[in-house]
Amino acid sequence: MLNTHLLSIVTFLPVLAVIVLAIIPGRQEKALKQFSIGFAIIHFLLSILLVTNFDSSVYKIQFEEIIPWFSTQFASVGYHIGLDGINLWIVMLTTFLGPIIFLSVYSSITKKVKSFLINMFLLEVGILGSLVALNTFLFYLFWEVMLIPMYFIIGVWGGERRIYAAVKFFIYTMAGSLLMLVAIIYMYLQTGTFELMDLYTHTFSGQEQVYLFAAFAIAFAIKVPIFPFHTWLPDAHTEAPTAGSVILAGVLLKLGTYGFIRFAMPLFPSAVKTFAPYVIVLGIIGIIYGALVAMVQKDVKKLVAYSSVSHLGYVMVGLFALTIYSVQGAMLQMINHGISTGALFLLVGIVYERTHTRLISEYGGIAKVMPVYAVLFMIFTLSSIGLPMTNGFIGEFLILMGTFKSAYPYAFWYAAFAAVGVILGAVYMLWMYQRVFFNIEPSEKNMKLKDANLRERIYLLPLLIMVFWIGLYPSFFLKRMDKSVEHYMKLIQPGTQLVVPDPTAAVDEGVQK
Amino acid sequence: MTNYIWLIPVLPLAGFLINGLFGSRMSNKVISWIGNLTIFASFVFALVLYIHMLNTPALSEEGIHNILFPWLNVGGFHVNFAFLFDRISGTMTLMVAGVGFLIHVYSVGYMAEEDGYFRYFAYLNLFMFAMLTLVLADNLLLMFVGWEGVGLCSYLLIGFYYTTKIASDAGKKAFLVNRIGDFGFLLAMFLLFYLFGTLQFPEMKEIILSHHIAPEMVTGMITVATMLLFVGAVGKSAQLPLYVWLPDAMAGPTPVSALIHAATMVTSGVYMIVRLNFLFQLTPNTLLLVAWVGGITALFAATIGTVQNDIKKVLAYSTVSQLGYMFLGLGVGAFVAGFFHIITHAFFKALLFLGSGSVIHAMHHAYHNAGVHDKDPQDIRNMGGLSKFMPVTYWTFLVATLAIAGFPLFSGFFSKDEILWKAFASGHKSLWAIGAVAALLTSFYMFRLIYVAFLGQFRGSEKEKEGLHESPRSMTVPLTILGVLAAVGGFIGIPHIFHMPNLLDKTLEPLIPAINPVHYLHNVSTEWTMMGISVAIAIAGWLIARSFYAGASRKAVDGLSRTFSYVHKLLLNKYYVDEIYFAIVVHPIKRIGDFLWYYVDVIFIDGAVNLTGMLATCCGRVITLFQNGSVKMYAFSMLTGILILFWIFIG
Amino acid sequence: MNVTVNMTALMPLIILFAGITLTALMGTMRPSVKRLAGLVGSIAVVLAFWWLMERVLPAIGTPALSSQYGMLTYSYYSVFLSSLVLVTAVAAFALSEHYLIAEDFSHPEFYAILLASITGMMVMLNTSNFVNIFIGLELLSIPLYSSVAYLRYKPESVEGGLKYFILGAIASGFLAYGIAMVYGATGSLDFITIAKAVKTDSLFRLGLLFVMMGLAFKAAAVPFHMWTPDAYEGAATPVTAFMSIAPKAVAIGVLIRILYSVFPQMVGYWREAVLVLSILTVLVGNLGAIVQQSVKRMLAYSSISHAGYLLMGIVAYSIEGVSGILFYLAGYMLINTGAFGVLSLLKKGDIDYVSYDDIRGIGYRHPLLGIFMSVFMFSLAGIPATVGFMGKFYVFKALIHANYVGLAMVGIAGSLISVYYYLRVVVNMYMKENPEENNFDLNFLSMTVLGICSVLVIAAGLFPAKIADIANVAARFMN
Repeated sequence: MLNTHLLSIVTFLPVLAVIVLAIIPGRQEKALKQFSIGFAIIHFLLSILLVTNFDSSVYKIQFEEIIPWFSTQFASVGYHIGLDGINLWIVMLTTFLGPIIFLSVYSSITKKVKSFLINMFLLEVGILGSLVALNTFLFYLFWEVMLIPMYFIIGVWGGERRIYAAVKFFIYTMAGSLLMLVAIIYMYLQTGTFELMDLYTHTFSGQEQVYLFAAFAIAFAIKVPIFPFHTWLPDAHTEAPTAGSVILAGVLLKLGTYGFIRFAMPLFPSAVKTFAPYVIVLGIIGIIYGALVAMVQKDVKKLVAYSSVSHLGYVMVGLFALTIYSVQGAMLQMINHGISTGALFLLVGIVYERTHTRLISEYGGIAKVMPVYAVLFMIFTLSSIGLPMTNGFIGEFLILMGTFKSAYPYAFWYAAFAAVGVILGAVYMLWMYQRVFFNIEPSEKNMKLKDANLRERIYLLPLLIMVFWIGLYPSFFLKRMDKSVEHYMKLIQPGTQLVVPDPTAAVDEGVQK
Repeated sequence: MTNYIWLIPVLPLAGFLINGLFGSRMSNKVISWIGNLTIFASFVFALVLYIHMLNTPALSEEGIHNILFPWLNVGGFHVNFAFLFDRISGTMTLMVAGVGFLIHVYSVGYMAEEDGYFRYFAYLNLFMFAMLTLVLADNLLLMFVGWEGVGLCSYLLIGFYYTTKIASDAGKKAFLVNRIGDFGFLLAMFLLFYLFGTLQFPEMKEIILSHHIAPEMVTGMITVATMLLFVGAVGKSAQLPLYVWLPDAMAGPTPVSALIHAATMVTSGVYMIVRLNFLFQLTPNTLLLVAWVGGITALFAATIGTVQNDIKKVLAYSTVSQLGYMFLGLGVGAFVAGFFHIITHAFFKALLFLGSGSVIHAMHHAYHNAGVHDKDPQDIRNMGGLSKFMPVTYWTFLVATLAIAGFPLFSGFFSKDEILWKAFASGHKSLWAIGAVAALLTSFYMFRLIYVAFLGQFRGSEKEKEGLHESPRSMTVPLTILGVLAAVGGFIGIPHIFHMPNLLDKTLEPLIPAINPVHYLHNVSTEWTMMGISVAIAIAGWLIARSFYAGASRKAVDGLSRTFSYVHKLLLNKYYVDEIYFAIVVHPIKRIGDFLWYYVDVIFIDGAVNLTGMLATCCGRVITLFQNGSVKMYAFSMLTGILILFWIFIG
Repeated sequence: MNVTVNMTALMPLIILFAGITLTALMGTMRPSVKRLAGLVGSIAVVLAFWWLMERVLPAIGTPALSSQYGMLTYSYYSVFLSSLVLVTAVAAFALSEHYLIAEDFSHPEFYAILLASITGMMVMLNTSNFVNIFIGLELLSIPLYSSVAYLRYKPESVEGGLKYFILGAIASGFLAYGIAMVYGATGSLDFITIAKAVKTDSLFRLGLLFVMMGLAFKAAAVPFHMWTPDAYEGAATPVTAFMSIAPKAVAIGVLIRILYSVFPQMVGYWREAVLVLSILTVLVGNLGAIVQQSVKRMLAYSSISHAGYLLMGIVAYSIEGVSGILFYLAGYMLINTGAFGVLSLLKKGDIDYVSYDDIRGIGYRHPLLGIFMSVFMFSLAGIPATVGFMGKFYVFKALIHANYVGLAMVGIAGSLISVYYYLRVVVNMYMKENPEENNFDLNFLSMTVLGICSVLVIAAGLFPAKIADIANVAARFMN
């Protein structure tokens, strides 16, 4: 009984929070915040049932729920949600970040608290909904609805250029998703269904696939974001309040990559093969470009934002390398990025609250006055640059290794260039770390900074645990993706395997070039 | 017992966790006990295991395999968290844990007055954990964990005095340059997995031994893979062209330099090649590259070492140079000799660094007592005659100098001589010549140190002189122990011509078999001759140094450096390599970043986005221009509409 | 000739006419009675609506309910549109009540005028004869001109009314001229007869051209839209709400009816013409809206653009397209009533606060109003979970189905542009601070209307099936 509705309950539970929050008077800020934290924790605990009841031995959709939603002469839409190895961990990441975000909000949001919390919960519904939706129409609905609370979060509680950033975010994303809408409608007209599972079985003609894939891909590419569709991201991240950045980096961007893996790629496998080299190259450009641009940022938050461009480049490369290693790596990297970058944004938020500046040049030597904070920052920095034993390494390693093993003619070079990001990642992160924490005795002003307090340590601790959990025992996570990814690999290469060229030739050629 | 190999690295990890988490609330004494005991326990355990292994026939060949838990398991890719304690890793473990323990003890005294004492010991323990993981790993991926782990600790420890820019710069530089090497390592792993379908050493070896791999792969792919691995080794073991981080790394506390940047971490590149000897032996081209890079580095660094005035810088370049020797040895196929040099080098170089630490410690105190703040306690030109004030330091330092210079019967003599002999015997005469010249320089710059720093007259004020004194027991005891090891450590690898048992050869033979043996010249008389030449070189170096620096002959040095002022300047500035790197790598990358951000991101892409918006607004303005409130205009617009419709319907 | 008079068919018009008479008479009575004019007018509209639902609807079979040789013809299609008009009217009356009181210019004649216009709409919708089309159009238009100019002490009101009148007169002239030509070509004014004529000669084509033009003017299609911003801005806001929905629904509805069932043989011509007009309308409407500084004027342009989407639906030339348009119109009625309704509340005395600057921070001072307005704006922008999205979805789907993917893309580009200016309203309401703390008097009646609208906007966005089914039936039975 519980299993049949569990996913719906998890998805829509935040609505209940919204209702309760609406009833609590806006003046009772403490009560509002405490309620949110408590509720988010309950929400997370409930969602753990999804993992414990998850059957990792099969690839099929679990916790599935299908009910007709509305049906008219010209369109019938079902409410169809479900969970498998592909979206399980992103759903979990979303609920996991919930309590952390609300804990961070405790001190960072001081005005219009009630509306903020309501928006946050609504955002969570939107995200969870689009993650579990197995119906293109339903997916599109959540996908778009999610924009609104995010738009408010950036626009109302953001920094100086918040309006510009919010509107840019909205229109940029909308531009892509409208194309996707056309594609969704087109597919419906061709097949008479919005059901994803039914669409999987339908083979579109080559020409159709190219256009449809392009429409989907642009929508997702903007969300990811893939170079050159990324310019909304630094603005949105920089201007958003900490909690907004965390959820944006943590989950929202993953919806783009998730869109690829759930929709764009398995629906149009032959177009994927056509486009894959281009996407991989764009991914690699993203990795290197993001890193180089991150390096020269003066604003620490912007730096982390550009690092996202770089990290998500890895995910894209991994997804399109189309090997089981790289796809699993990419999926794990999606989670990793949510944890590491989410944590970095939280950390930046902590110091921003104290100094009200994000300029790197305003810091320096603060490891001396904030030692615990410095250690935490260091660990997440290392996780971000993929040091072994941290989560980032596992993801990057699998992606790169899978890319190397992929059947593309230039696989060696794809992997090699993508791996340059490993060096560049260390360059910008450590340089930033050095300028923020080391180099000089802290200035007079910074001498008074207080170290991370108990609340801050509490909400960073779970993230810290995740960093090492995934880093040391990734099997726990990979095992639950295994079957679904295997099945996915079959979906994406129906019937025909990619022709594997002579391995020696591939590398020899690569080496000669 | 054999199932608890993991304790060897995990004990220091426990030390790190305790010290790291609670150290700020513990006394220095507790901290140092925890830090030292964990390492000591590891060492003892390793020793017991080692003896057990050698005495158990079932284990002595294959070593002890300890699988903890499956780590990564994706598709056909399996990697375990597993340790392999065999003759190679066991020997290395003993060296690492042993020297590591001594340096820990030494640190208790050396770091006693520093802030962040707990931080220091925590880092040091973490380093031991990473290093032992590197050594004991049974697969490349886990080795890479240690590989990057030691890099991280090196970063943390170099930057120990983080509020100074020099230290934090040096730490960052070390990490980044190492990452360039790791990049090669990473690619090599991909390639090897591609070839072998596994990254576990035993399995890889099995595949090679059973000839499951096609011969054409050997020439092509494995060569590429081993070269990429060597890139990793070049980064970690500070070879040309990636050696630049090591001299800067001297910004860290001196025991750190001794442990990480002399005895252990920097030799892990060499260790890795020894560990993978079954791969490297298949690839003569890679070996040749290894030999040449090693040889040239040995010479190159030695030349710089001759003119440096910072005591630690001299030792740093000396380390680079000695590491070059090791690679030279590996490159000519003398894996055991290379490995031998790792061990002897660990003894004498750790000793040299600790000795220099002792000196610096003393100089620091002297300046502190005299209230001098602007003098560099590491500059040998400020020292002189220290032997009178710190005899233990002097004598141990001298032993180490004799060892590194290759005076007969000291440890360095055996290992270095074996490398040079193997180079000569394998037919690489030019490599031998390079090595010989470098040996001459080594002897020269080491004795230069002895003469300038320890002998003659103290070149500071009387007040400073009063502050000079020998270091505390916790520092001198490790010095003494290392002194003994540096003196007699070489007897584990006595050349065969002495007709005495060569322990090291015997121990390692089963694991470093000659799959593709290098055909060495077997001529006992030549070997004796070459050994004689080695001795002559060592003595020549000493004599030259003596003629320049002993007694009142300092003027001669000035004269010499004036005559060769350009050469001197070039060497003093380390061939301007750092400047060149800055100009052709660091600076351009920053410029590119700036360019991409400003021109591509802000101006071009965002410009295009904003232009679209502006275009829409402009169109809007144009459209509303017609909306001027005049009915005539409105009627005119309707007329246009009718004309359009007219054109469609009638036209 | 035995003229049969079907009272069932005639009754709605009679009810409305009674309403006109009553409210007009009330102008002569005591102030306490005068105040009831809005109520009386509403009752008349509701009664008419009730009659449509309870009496007319059951009487419609597959052949439409017809009276006086088709002079009055009720089909499911026309009843659907008539209902939209009547519902809009009730909402507009409810919104007017307090607006006019605040203006201190509340006269019963106001309702009489509007009722007359509604009657005209009913005539125009429920007929299958060109004579009634023309009569209905005039009955619709002339009161509307005067209702725009109703606030006679405001120059912009008078100016708007006058412009509307002058240009509307030209348009009416063209329509009459077109009808004459069609008559000349076919010898009939009855839809069915004309449809049977199967003609394509140039006189006939010219006739269609002018008829189209007359209707396009009412629908505010570009380039016959120039009156719209001025008239919408000048009119009292509730009137604008009414004007932006009812006449548009009527014009588009009649246009579809005429094009689909009277001139199907000319589809090749008019499809292209509508296509051109729709593209122009969408682009001009949206681009023009970007640069406006007044929300009211922005909404005027926005209503132009929505006429464009509706015209796009016509191009699809399918039942699906028509049902999409009808759904769109139903949703649009809810949204626009709401959006203008919110504006009608931003008022102190006779001053309207409808510029972007005026609405700054409204979201916090009047939270409910802010939420309502946001719902309407997001819905106009076509964000899912609102009826605005579903409307666009149906229309674009019909277009893609008819292989007009390119046209759908133009529509999509248009809605993308529209996101910017609709968001601007939200931006101003929530993300900017207003130095002047403007607080407005929110009356219960209007807020109720807005509340119902916004709930329905979301409800119909999430569960569109009911409306879509009705729209589908209506689209199927046009004649």
